[in-house]
Amino acid sequence: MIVNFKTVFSYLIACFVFSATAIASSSVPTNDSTKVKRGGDASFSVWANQSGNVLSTGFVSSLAQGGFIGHDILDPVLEAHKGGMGYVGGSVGWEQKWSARPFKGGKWALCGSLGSELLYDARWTSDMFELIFYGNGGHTGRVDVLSGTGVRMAEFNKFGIGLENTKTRQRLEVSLVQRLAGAEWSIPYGYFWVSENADSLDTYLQTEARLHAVYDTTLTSNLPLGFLPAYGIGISGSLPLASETLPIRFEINFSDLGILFEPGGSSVAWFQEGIATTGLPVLGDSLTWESVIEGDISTDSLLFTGTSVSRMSLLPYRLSANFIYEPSPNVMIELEVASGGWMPEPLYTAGVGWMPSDRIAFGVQAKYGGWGKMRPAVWAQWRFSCRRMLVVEIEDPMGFFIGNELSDFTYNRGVTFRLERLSGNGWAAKGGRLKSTCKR
Amino acid sequence: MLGKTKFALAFVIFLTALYSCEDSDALSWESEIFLPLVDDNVTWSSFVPDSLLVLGEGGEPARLVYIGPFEAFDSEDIPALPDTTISNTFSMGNDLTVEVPAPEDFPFMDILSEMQVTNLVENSGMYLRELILSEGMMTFTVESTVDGIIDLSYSLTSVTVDGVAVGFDMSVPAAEGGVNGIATANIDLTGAVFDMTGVDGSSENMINSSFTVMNSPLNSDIFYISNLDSLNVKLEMQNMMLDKARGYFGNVELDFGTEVSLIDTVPVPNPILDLEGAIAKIRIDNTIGADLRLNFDTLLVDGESVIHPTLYGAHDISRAQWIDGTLLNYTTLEIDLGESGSNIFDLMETFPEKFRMAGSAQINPYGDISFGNDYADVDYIPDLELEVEIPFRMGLDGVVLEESYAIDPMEFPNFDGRLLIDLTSTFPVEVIADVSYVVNDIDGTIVSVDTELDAGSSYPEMPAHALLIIPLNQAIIEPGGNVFVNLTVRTDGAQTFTGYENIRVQVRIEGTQLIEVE
Repeated sequence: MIVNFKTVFSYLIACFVFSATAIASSSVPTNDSTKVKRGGDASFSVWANQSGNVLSTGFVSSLAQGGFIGHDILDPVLEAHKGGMGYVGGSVGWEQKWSARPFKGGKWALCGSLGSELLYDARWTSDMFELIFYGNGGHTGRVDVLSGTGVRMAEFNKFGIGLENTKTRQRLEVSLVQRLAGAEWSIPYGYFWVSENADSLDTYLQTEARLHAVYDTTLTSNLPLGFLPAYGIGISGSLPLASETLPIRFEINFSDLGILFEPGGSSVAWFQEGIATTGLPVLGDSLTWESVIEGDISTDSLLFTGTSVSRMSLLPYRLSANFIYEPSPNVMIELEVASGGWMPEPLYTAGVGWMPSDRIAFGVQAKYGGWGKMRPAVWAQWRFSCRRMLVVEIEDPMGFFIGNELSDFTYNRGVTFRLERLSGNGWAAKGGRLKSTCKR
Repeated sequence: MLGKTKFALAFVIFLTALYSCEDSDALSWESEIFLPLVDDNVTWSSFVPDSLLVLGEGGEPARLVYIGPFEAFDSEDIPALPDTTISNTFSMGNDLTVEVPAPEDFPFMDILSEMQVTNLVENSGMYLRELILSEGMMTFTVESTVDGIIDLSYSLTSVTVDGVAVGFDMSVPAAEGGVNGIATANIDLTGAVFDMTGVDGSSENMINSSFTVMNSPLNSDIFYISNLDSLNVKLEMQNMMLDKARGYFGNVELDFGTEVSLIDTVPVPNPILDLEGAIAKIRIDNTIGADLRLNFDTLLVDGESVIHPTLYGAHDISRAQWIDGTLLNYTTLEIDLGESGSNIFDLMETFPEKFRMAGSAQINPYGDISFGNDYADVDYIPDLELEVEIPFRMGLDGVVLEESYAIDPMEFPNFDGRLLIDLTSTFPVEVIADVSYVVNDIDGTIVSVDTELDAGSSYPEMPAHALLIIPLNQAIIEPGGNVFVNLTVRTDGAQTFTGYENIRVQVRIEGTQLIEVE
């Protein structure tokens, strides 16, 4: 099915209007003082972030500025490939979450979420980086591993609806997820080897590319591509556990745990090139460019192009668990571990927050993992009315000073704006980030 | 107020865009590459066929061993039946005074016939008593003057295939309006055994046949036979290939002239062989049951006549003994070409390439002394062999290798590096290496280097090594080119070569390229 941009945009607007209407309707007060009369939490978030573990802002700035990139610039980047892999990834998106008034003033309330997200992820081996920027001259005799290198990007839209308990604040949604478009390229298996004396070489490469769109040259538009959306079903929710006697709480959040059903028709290219030798025979010729070019040795070369068949894959789920300890009413300590969302490694977060007044709170965090290495993050929230507040989170603030020396040694940057509406009277306090219900 | 704000915002966006579009330098970095381009081994196998080379072990010299046929004779020299046509006309009623109706229930002709093959080798006295064909074809044609259709049953009673006499049945159409009725049949004689001793068992060259003629049930009317009616039978035997033969093969003389090549190319420059221990022989095995007399007229080594005390003249070789088709014994004649008084080793000192021999072979020089019991089997043709064994102990002087290696165009921008040429030699002689890199540019730029490799050793293995370096830049490497390697050796006197010697030529490229990204 080919969907044009107007159709998709209209769909998103319609979803947004529906969601906004639901929030508005859930906010309408009632006169019955014995029942839970108000809706639960609601929020609208917009974010953009980028993380990496080896490409510093200074290096990227150098690439952007142009000129000669010497080893003084490249060496720190190569040394940063600890573990053998380099990563860059992140996401840009928005999300709206809401909980309506409980049914008939009871414990259960309709809840839902709506959002869009562009996810991107790139990863490469240190050997690949070294081959590109240094060449093979400095490390002949070593096998350069290329396996695991790849790039992918996709745009996901999501609509979820479910129930939330006003007392336990447990929440469960069923989500319909649409992958509007996407592309991916990877080297599942590859290596490159030149013997120490450069008298023989051995290389093998398997690579695969997929464009999740319809490639059709008969289309009338300039770009011979049409949308090929894929749909999936997942579950999202949260399971908070709060102590009644101690100021601690534990919460598990998950989103989009499910399966994406990819339709057939994606453009696929699959390439394999294998040149192998068993070594240097005493009375024979070894493998050289000459023998490869002249076809004296057998190469295993395959190229397939075509369209994919339908298949199932995992949604870019997220799973997190956080622990919050509030030693005093205006101080909070939090620990969190999160995974998924195409992140190559779990993301660990530790932070502390302080609320000097009823309206303002601040916090600092240390994040490690995901795509990136250790970096700071700060957040602030301004409660401008009893039920509403604005939260701003900035990850690795120095990373925004691109082009300035201050940011040369940063690897990440990210910002999130979130407009929150706190749950009303009758909802159990959820805590965390020093927020609570509005008891009016 | 709002308009000013919008204008200011647009101005900021415009300036930002300008800043973003600021020209920046091309991004560039250096990449160091180290790649193998050529790896080649030059060994004795490069110019001596493996089938001729016997490697020397434990430091012993390798030997060039040629044992091969002169191919002086082949199966066509064995007597066989030529294409043969035998024709007979049989009258139907010589004694009839009037026409009589043809009988319907029994043959009105029943004839036994002996046909003699008369076209064997002329004036040789050759005759055959038994013959087995590996293939052959017989065409049988019958021509009838009778007014009715006749059924003919024909059999070659002395010719069998798998023990069964060769024969067939056929209908011959009636003669009409003065035109004879004709019928034809083909018979495959593959594997046919001919007993050519005739009905009495003591004749030769005979083929027995019998046939009967009957009135055909296809006739609707009675037809009549007169004394004028006849039947003409024609046998055409073609492409008869001999498998085995017995008889007397006649007194036949066959001329031969043949040549063998030891090495087709001339890769060894000015070789001087130390031929101590060399062997040169010719040998013939007479495997047919007939006496042979060989007369050698000529033996040339690379065009030079061999002087030999006993080679030239007649050499009689007795017949082989065959019993019931089994070779019991055969006679061998061996002539040592290097015996005292021969100059063949003098002629071989410069590494012989071609041997040429001519002469004649006479079969049965003493006549039919076996009384028709000569025997031949095409699988056992007399074989004239040359055996030459030359030890690799020689002196060399000149170019042993002229080789070129193509270097394809390579996109190495701003390349600055070197072409490394490693030469590793185990030849026990000094090797002078001249290397030229001819660039595929308009000027045909040539970069030349040379070096001298010390003598190495293949036993024990102690290679000598030399490294040649040709500076390269982008202008030289980008268009590609050809590396020409010229190896020259010069020895003082004869050296022993084990056959394991090799010169390894490795070409590698090493340097840095400057990659630029706009």
